[in-house]
Amino acid sequence: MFVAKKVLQLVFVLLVVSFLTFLMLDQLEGDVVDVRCGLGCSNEQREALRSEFGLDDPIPVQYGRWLKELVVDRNLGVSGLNGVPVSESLADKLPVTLFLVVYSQAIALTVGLLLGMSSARKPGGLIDRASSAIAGMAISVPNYVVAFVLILLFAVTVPIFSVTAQDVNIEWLMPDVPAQLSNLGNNLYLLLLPAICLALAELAIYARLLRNDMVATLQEDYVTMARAKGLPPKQIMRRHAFRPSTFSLATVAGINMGRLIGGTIIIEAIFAINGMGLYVVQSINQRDAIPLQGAVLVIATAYVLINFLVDLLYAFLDPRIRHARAAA
Amino acid sequence: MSCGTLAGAGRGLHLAKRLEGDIVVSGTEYAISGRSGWFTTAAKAGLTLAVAALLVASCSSASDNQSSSPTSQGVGATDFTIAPEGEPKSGGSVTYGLEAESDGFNPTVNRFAISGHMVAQAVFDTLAVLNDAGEPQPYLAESITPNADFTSWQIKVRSGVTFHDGTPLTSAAVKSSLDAYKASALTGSALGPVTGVTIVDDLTVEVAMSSPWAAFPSGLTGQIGYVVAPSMTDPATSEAGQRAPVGTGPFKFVSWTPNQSWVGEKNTSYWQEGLPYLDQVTFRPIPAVRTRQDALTTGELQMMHTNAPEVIAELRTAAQAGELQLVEDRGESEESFILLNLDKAPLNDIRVRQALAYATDTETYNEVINAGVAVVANNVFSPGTKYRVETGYPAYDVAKAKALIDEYKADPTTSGEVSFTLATTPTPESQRSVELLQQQWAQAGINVTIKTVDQAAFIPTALTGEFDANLWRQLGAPDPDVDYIWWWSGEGKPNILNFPNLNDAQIDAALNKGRQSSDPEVRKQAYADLQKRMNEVLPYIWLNHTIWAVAANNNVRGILQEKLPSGGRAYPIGGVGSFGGVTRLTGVWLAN
Repeated sequence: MFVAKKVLQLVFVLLVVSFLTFLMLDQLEGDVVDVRCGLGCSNEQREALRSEFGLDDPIPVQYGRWLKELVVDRNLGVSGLNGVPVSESLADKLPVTLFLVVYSQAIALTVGLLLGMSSARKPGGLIDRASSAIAGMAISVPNYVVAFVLILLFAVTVPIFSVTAQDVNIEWLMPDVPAQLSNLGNNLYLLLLPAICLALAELAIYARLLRNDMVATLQEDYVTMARAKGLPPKQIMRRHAFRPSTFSLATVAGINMGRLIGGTIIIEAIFAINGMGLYVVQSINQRDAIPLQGAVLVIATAYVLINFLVDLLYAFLDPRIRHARAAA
Repeated sequence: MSCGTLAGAGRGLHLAKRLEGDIVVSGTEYAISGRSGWFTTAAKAGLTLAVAALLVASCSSASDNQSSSPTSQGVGATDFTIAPEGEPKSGGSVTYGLEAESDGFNPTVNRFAISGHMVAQAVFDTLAVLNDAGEPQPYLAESITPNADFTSWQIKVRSGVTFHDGTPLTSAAVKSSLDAYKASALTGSALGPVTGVTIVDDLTVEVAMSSPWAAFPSGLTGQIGYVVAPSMTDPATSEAGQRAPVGTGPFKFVSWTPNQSWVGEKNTSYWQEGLPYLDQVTFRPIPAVRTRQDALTTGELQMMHTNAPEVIAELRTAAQAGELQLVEDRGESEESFILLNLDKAPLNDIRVRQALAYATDTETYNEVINAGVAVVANNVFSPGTKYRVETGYPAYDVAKAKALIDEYKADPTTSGEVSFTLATTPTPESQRSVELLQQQWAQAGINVTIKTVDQAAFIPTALTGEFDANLWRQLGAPDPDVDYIWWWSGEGKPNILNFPNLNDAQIDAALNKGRQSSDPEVRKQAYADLQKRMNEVLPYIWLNHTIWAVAANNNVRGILQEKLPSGGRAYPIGGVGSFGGVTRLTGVWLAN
């Protein structure tokens, strides 16, 4: 029942989002034929191309045609600019972006949790104040500035890392484990600088969120009770206070993951990463509706799925939710 | 010694040429030399070379000092390359950083900008190429011969050439390529007068024209000159050909991941004996120019191109310090200018156009916008190129501009107002450019409203004539005939590519004269007339000539040294139709 509701919700979100994307792209000046022709093409040739791509049909008709192709033929269509199938482009780009997003969030969550918990242990203490200062800096410096500084320091001055991450090669199905591991290692190495750039601001937010929630949780009666029972502080932090304090964190982390799948444009541009963000921006600049639709579908689906996972996580974090659902 | 002036450069180069023929190519066109690393080279090669290197080294630094007074730039290429020692070595691979990705690589279907041509030059051959004097030479063609009045041309291709898929290069393949270009929406206009292509024998086609076209071979150095394999023009397979191009070129297509890399491997049965030297080339589109520059510094790239002025200035410093090699194109290149719509008031009045020219401080513009790196323009041809003549284009003079504007405003037949829209694309550089011009023009009483239009919609504004004035970059062809289509009135028929809406009998006459004669003197005179008339009509407010630079790591050799099969050297950079910044990797090799 819960899953069915979520699936219905997903379908509804996708329909609305994809239609709005179509509508908004249509509102921009110029179309894909203009981009394809550039300085070439006579007016007749332009019109011929427009009717070949069906651009002279009304928007609902164009949308319906795309939807029919998607649902009936299970086909995401091809780019109007160069005929490259959208599914092929997505298969190239989505894994790279997912890898980068998961990687950066892993860094952000690990460091954020450590910082948040150590700050909460002694609010106003040295660690708390230091981490607050670090968080302030990390949030206020834009990630592209961090990117240029990191490149200058760790790729140009001290050449430990590479400037570009174009060589990232995501292979899910490699026959032998050593090859898979060395490929994974190479990807982790190539994407470390971009992942840090993305993680920096997030980890600061995570650390502050967790710290604040945890400080609140530590005021709860049951924590006082645990203390009174003489439980060691470490155990109280980890077993009693941590889980109930992670609600906001889970919510924000979930939203961030979804946002980053289409939102790493600047970092992708700086490190020459062939990912989803650039694909979306290029498709918009080139007025290429079909690839944009494909990308938006993927991003919206990811968003909804991640939120779904966060919902499940709530149930894990708070047994009351689980029981409430079971009762309903 | 001053190399800034044409005479100075010529003297220096001629002197150097007498001392050491091998390192100086083609008199006044451009120089190939050692740079700061010249000392070791010279020590090995002996005193003669040392003197020559000194001469040319002083030439390079002299032209560099000129960046603060760019109007007097020399010609050809500013060159910091390491002179090759010994025979070229085969092997190795080069990764080349491009400024952009292309839509695809079928020249009959896809639109090529500079980056597209870079890849196309690796996988295809053009029928003709330009030599270092800017003259078209047969390349994949063995000969390109006209009839007496240039209304028919016979193109004979080399025998024994095969495409990468094994099919032989025949006249049928040339015909299907040319037919496809003629039929293509993107390239058809470049083959304007061509009426048909017929097969004469196995290797020869005859191209018939509706009117004399003496400059046809120049056209064959650009996009319409690439001969593609028959599979690329076959409707059933041409779509696939966009992604997996098949040509006769020095490198065979291996793989393409858009926005990531294009890989080509050595064509072991290439028709130019012993070429190419490299086993593999990889093209990487890296639009962020700083990233491209950093990647060259760290050796992730071996070569790159750019036209970003600040980056060129930095690369120059690095090249002078011996950290990398750099070649700057000082030949004919694209111009930045303000494209005026002659059909719209107040720009339809010559006084207003003259006032705009007088009110534009191009020296300041070049300093502010181009870090002083580009060459200030007052004409369609770069200083020192062979068709350029001095036209008396209005030099910066606000008082004269004001007087003209006041005269226009006082004229009862006009609206009495000088205000129009200046449009550009939403990049920070373009915004800075138009804002600076807005300020400069305001001092002469010209009121400009800035409008920002997305790139996708910007070119259509020129095609449809729905603009007053646009910040524009175009017109880079070394042979002016390639620019015919942008200036020709259509003589009664509509020509949407005539963006300024020129309708001038003298311009048409000069264009036709240049197109229909093969006599260099007649052509020079025709294009001199054209420049003078352009200066009277003033459809463009000139800003600067674009500089394209190619930078390379220190182990790369042969960057500008390609010898042509017909003898002589190839045009330094650019020369592919109307595009600067294109180099062929055919003759490039790696030391060590």
